[in-house]
Amino acid sequence: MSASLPAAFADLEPFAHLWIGLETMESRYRARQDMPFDALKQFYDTTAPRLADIMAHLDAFGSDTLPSAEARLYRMVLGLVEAAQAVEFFASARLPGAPYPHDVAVGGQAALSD
Amino acid sequence: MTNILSATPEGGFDLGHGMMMPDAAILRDGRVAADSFWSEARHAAERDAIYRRCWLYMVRAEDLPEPGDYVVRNVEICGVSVLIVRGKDDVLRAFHNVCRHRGMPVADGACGKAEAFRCPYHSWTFGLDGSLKAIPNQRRFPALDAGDLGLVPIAIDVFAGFVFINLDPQPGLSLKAFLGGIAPLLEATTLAPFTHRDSLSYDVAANWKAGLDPQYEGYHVGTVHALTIREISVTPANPFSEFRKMAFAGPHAAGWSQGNPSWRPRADRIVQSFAVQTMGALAGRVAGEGYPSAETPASLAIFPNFMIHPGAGGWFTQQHWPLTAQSHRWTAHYYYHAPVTASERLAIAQATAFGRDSGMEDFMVMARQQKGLASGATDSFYYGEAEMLPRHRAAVIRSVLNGAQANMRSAA
Ligand code: FES
Ligand SMILES: [Fe+2]
Repeated sequence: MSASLPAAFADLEPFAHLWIGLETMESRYRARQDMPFDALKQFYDTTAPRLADIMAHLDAFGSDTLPSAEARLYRMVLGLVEAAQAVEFFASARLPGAPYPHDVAVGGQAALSD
Repeated sequence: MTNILSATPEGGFDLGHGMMMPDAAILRDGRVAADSFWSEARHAAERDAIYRRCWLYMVRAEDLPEPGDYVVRNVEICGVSVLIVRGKDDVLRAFHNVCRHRGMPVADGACGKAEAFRCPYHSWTFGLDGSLKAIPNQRRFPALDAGDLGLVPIAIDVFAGFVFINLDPQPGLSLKAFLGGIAPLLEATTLAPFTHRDSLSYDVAANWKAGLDPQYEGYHVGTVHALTIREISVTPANPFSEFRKMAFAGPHAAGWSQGNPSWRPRADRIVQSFAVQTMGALAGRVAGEGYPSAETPASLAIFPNFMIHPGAGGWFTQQHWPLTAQSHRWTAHYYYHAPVTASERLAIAQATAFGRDSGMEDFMVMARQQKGLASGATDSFYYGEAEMLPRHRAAVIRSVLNGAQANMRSAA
């Protein structure tokens, strides 16, 4: 696997491929529904304890566009947000009883009218 | 003066049909006909007496900052596509999004910026003020007067940045009169500083009123949200998450929660803890600008389908739009201050995901409730006294539909 994350977070590399290609909240939510809970839990257990370090690293880049390795790291922690919903609240990848799969449309004005 | 603010639900209301009283039996017993959530006849009656008559919230004025900015909103129950556009004179106007040639929608997509609206069928072109500007090959319409063929206008008005329309060609009362005593609470909803917004939409297999119900009662929270928000609102002193205060203004209502000021995220919830802490820091950075206060209702219900709540990072608004008798579309906006750091963006993502998932907990229940009611097993259901806001809404709608039937009878 080629290195895609900043060097300080190379140990998280095995999880990067799960999330770095997912650019929207909708796609991450769908990926969470598709992943086994154990995979989400393993990702969470490894990554969540590093969250403060990761965010301190990313915050140092200010508000403009992140370098590509940092952008991938950021996308991975957005994946962590979805994994955390599963691990911290539901002990399940999918909401118990929810239709599978389901999408919740996300967007600005455009999402809300058609 | 109509729709006066009151601490009790018995006050009269006016939706433009004249002054009416909420149905006394429903207010007293909380007993509601089950078919009000599934019958086709009831759905059609609500369409005609409510959605074709009431002021309906559409969009924020700041979503249309410049001349030519437009949005399209569909009021599905009425089969109407509403085009709202800011004119060159800076005035907001609303039109039926229907070409006067042969009926094609003239504006594409949900929003955009236009110099004019050129119909995608035969290129009739309308100005931002709705007037018909050009008919290609006009000599083939020798008898038509282009001056009469502007887009059909829809009544529109703005209060405190909230843009409402009314599908009644002659609204029975002004937006201001419709809002009545609830207006100050709407005015205190300061969305403008919250320039970052996450917008969600989901079609729910349940009547639109089933969608509204859990947005203004706390009774379900301990059960439905046992895994999520229960710990935030259920306390030993308030085991059923009851409102500490309720108020009613005509058809509108508000409920104030008791809250749980000592709530903190569990320490082992690392991501939620980080998000809540970061959101607090963001609030400190913007010095409280525009935030809900202790006097903000947990649920502000603008009749018929608009709800406003304090949100994790600012505000949360939602609407429940009827689609069929047994389905509705939920549209929600989560408002936040503009994030500066990656941490703040992450905190917002967590807050929206949490809102989405706890919303989904409600939707799953509604869809099952819908099947139970539509099975015909029971002819009625009950709202308790702690569910007085939905009870009041049911009483208002019952009277409106009775009144509309009486009007029809007297006209016949
Ligand atoms: S329908 Fe619009 S130009 Fe023909
Ligand atoms: Fe709920």
